[in-house]
Amino acid sequence: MKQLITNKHPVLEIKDLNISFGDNHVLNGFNLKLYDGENLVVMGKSGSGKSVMIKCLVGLMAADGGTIKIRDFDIVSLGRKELDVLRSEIGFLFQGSALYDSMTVRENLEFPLRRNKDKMRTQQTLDELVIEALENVGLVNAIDLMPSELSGGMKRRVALARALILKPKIILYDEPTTGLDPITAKEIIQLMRSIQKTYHTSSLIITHDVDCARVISNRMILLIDGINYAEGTYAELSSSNDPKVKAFFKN
Amino acid sequence: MNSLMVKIKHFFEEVGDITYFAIRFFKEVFTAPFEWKELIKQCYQMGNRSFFLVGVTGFILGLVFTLQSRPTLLEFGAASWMPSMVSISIVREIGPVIIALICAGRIGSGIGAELGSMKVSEQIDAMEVSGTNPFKYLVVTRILATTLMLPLLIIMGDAIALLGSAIIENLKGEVSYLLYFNKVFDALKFSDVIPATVKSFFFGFAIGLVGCYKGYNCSKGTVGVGEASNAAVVYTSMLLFVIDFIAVFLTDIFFEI
Repeated sequence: MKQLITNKHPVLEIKDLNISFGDNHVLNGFNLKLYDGENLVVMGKSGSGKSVMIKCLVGLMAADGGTIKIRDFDIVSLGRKELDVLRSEIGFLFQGSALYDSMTVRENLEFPLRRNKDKMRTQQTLDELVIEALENVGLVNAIDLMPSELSGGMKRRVALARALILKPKIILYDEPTTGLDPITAKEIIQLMRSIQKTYHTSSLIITHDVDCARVISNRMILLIDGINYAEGTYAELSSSNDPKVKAFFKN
Repeated sequence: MNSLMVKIKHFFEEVGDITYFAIRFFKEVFTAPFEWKELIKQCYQMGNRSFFLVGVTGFILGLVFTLQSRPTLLEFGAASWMPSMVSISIVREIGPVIIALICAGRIGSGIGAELGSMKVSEQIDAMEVSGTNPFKYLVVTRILATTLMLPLLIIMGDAIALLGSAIIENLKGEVSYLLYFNKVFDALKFSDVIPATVKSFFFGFAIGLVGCYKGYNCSKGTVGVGEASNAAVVYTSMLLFVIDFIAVFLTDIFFEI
């Protein structure tokens, strides 16, 4: 597949990533470059290692081999403090939203700010940041609700607001539309697009939702057999004659 | 035979893991940042929410213990020994063990289920990504809270148990409350109170440690949450008796009970 040719410097780079669970080799030398301002979609079947890969990017899991560089910092060699500083520049939307059940929406959004004292000088600043993030996802009215009082789509929006609260440069989306009805899924995709425009973020989107990939991606990687099997734009991949690539776009 | 070996191996692996978990707790408890707000919240939740349960258990314990012992003591003409016998039994042994077991069920299973559900729903991962050390925020605060709150709950439970006993003595034996508690304080020595209080800190630590360990290492989805909650109670209950045995053994050496 034709590689996207660019002179831009990647904000995130994965080289030869290897991850195994016993005899199960999930990733076998996976490579990826995410450029400034782009939406890169990684597609693969369930269990192909997409979520494992994205968790490695923020140090939630350790890789068996390979390098991961985010803004030229090798995350494997970073200590806890340095990693936390780097993490404040990355937003992460979890597959199941991962809102803290025991906290209100406001407290959920304030939580990432507690270790970033420069961004929470006063309660007023804190409130402004929370309200701004909720306005971006259209849920200001839900500020004092508990996660259990929210629908699946609302939870995903609040989780997105929480990922945005530190105004990250990179956002990682782990299956952003999984478990949502088609209409809510479309709303979330539109929201992701508008966020990209507002915050000028670079986004790495893990999904197996072809519609999501079609609408949001600037570029796509197909993760098959633990490697980046095919790479290109949606139009290029969807017209491919390779049977393994075709299988993704069949339906 | 092979299955027995696997079980024994699994047991020792679990003991190793929990020991490592405890070592990590001691490493993290003394290093900044300190999560004071969360610690106070956990102390309030564990102490305040267990207050009623411990109170009722203690009261019934005192009532029942006195009612059951009375006929035997009367038979030997030793009814006047009731306050001494009840107070020493409750303060030294029955109070701490029963209340710790109640708390293992109430607090230990709660911690196991809460952390377990946070683990399987990726809330712990979300905490990590947001720059907060989840071990410090969730585990250290909960273990500290149980360690600090259990002695208070046990002291309170013992006091209510003695009140229950005093009520029975007052109703059945016409012993005044003043006389009853005078006899209680005459009978109790520091060598009864101090070892019991010291061991209650260990009971609290065990409840927090096992609950957190089981919840924090939960897997297998929602089934795992139930397993974590259940295992937290079972393991803690066994551990409480082991700690109690060691505590009685050491008390015997140092205080010559």
